[in-house]
Formats: sequence, C-alpha cells, structure tokens
Amino acid sequence: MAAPGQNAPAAGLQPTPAEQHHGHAFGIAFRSHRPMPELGEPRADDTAAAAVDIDWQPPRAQVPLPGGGICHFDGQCFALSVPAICDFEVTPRRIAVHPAPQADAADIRAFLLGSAMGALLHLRGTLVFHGSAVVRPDGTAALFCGHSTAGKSTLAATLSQHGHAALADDLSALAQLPEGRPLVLPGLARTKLWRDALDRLGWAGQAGPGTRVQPGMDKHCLPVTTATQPAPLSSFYELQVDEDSQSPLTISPILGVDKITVMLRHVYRSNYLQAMGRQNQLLAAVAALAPHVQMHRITRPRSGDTLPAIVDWLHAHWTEGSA
Amino acid sequence: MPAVSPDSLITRTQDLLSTQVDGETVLMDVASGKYFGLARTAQAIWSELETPLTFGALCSRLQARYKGDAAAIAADTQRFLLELSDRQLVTLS
Repeated sequence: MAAPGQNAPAAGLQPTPAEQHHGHAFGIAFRSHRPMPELGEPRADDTAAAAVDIDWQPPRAQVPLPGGGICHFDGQCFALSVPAICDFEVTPRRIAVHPAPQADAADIRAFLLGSAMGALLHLRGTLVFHGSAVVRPDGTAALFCGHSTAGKSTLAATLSQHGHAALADDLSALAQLPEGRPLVLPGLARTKLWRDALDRLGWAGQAGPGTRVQPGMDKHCLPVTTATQPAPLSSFYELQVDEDSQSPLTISPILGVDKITVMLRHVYRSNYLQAMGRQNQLLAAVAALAPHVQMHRITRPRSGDTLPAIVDWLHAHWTEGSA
Repeated sequence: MPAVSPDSLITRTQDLLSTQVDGETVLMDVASGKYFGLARTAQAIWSELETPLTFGALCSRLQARYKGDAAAIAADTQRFLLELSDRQLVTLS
C-alpha cells in the first residue's frame, strides 16, 4: 500500500482543487472545472468512471499542427487549432482546452461546444449532423439540417414555442439501436439566434452584451429547456435558401439514394472524419439510417416571411395519418 | 465499346454492401466511399445477377419479363452492364 501523500505533488505546487461542474449532453457525462451551463443537467446514472473531462488549461501560445492544417489526428488524439482563439486536444475521454493569449471567452466556448464537441462525438463513433432537433407530437424526433443561416435554430426555436420540445441545437447526435432505428440524443441546452429571430420570438429581453456568441456579433446564445430523453428519428428536413426573393416556398420529398447524398452533406464537420480515417464507417452508418427516416427539402426565399407557412406545413404533416 | 458476347459471364463484385431505400437498391463500395442507386430496370437486372449469369441468359430472362424487342433489350442491357463494369460493380469474363 502506498504511503499517504506519496503521489501528491510537492507542497506549494499542488493546484487548489477546483470545484467540479457536472453536465450531460449527447448521452455523455461531462466534468469541467468551469461552469458549463450549455450542457444539460447531470443524470442519475452518470458515473465519474465514464465521464469526459473538459480540461481547461492556462492560455498559451498556439502550437502549429503537423502538416500545417487546422486539424490533425495521430491515431489517438485529434488536435484542432483555431487561430487566435484556442487549441483543442480531443480524445474519447477528454477535451483539453488551451486558449490562445487574449482570446475571447465566448469565442472559446463557441468552438469548444461546436468543433471540439463534434470531434469528440466523431471519435466516439457517434453519428452527428449539423442541425437542430425537436420532439414531434408523436414523441419522435424531427431534425432540421442546413448550412449556416439556413434557419435551423430559428425554426427549432419557433417550434419549441409551439410546444415541440427542443432536443438539440446545431449539433444533433444519433445513437443507433441494434434493430437499426436511430435515436436523437438530447444535445446542448441552448440556442443561438440572430437579433431578428429574437425579436420575432419575443426573446429580445433575454439577450444582452453577455449573451453574444462573438463579441462583435448580434447573435446570441440563450438557455433553452431541452428534452431529457432521446427520441427516435422519424423526419429529416434539409433547409435551403433561394437567393431569388421571387421564388416560392417549396417542400418536396427526398427519396432513395438521394437521401444518402443529402445526409452526407449535413454530417457535422465530415472533414474531421476524413482526418480520422473513418469516412468508410460514415457511409455505412448513413445508409443504415436512410430506410428509417422520411426526408424533405424545404426551400424558402431569402426574403419574405415564410416561417409561419413552414410551421403550418409541419403541423399538418406531423398530424396526418395519426388521427 | 467492347462487345459483350452471349457467353460473357457477369459476376457481381464481392464486398459491396446493399440496402433498400424507398424501393431503390443502394449499392455501396465502402472501401472507396462510392455509392449507387438502382431503380426500376437497373434494379431488376441487378437482382437477376444474384448468382453469376451469362449475358445470353440474362437477356432471355429480361425478354421474358419485359416482352420487348429482343435486340433493343440486348443493346440497353449491354450498355448498362458496361457502365456497371466501369464502376467496378460487376466483372465481365
């Protein structure tokens, strides 16, 4: 038996034991020495043994990655370097956060909860899409994918105001059940919305300088009550914007092999999977998903208020055949 | 265009994954990350090739199934088989 204190650092070098904050997202228990309000509440069955540590390190000069790129995988650790913001080292059990000198805290958080979280999920073999999810009236999940500014978060927030619980924002992770049915795991308990969306939702009062996603940006990160149970994925919507303001709102089904093409397009940071050498698993995972999911493409003109029409269509679509 | 003779044996490439999506057959070459959707006639031809078949036998089965002009069926089928072969989904020998 080791003598007491044998493994402890010398007196004076020992860091003050910081308070541990616990959270849960994507089916994973997290521990962090800094508060992580964007994560959901810890679960009763979360164990320290299975937890992923968010390991906040002191600021340091950024370290160039081998090959000079923004990400690098050495077979164990996925390194990510975001210029002037943060370096991350991600393994399946730990995200080490190395802020760049003078980096803004909101910027670091945005990349920690986006890119670094996505890398963690990829490393753990979880399929993750760039999209937001809500719970439909029948208890299944609807996933809204699209490029930035396509309106994923705004639509999900609007639906949550109509009583469809938010399930995931921006990153939606899927667990594959043995029988092939995919489950959307509860994600981050937050939403990121631009000023116009906040005004429309009547949430402008919740936004202030402290909620800005990035210092100069009128886009805000707000806490959102998020469902705590996974929901089977039944619908996948691709949101597209047509720059021609004369274009009508169109909603059309996506069928067959096109489903796979569309899903692959919206896998979160699929270049990370290439760096990890896991793109083969990706195709098989997406193909296994395709038969279980109804898919539609929603194309709206950039200008004009099509949100109510989209919400009405979704309501009708979700209730048809269920009466 | 290389001709396919009635005796040419058509064999599906091994190690392709296949799944049904909305009535289409999706073939996946996982190693290369390529995937292909087969619908209608293409799907019918693929299902006939579950076991290796000569071009002549394949054409007579399709002829029985679609009752079309034999020469047109043979020409269309040959074109499609060469496409499959180009994509390394079948071998012709």
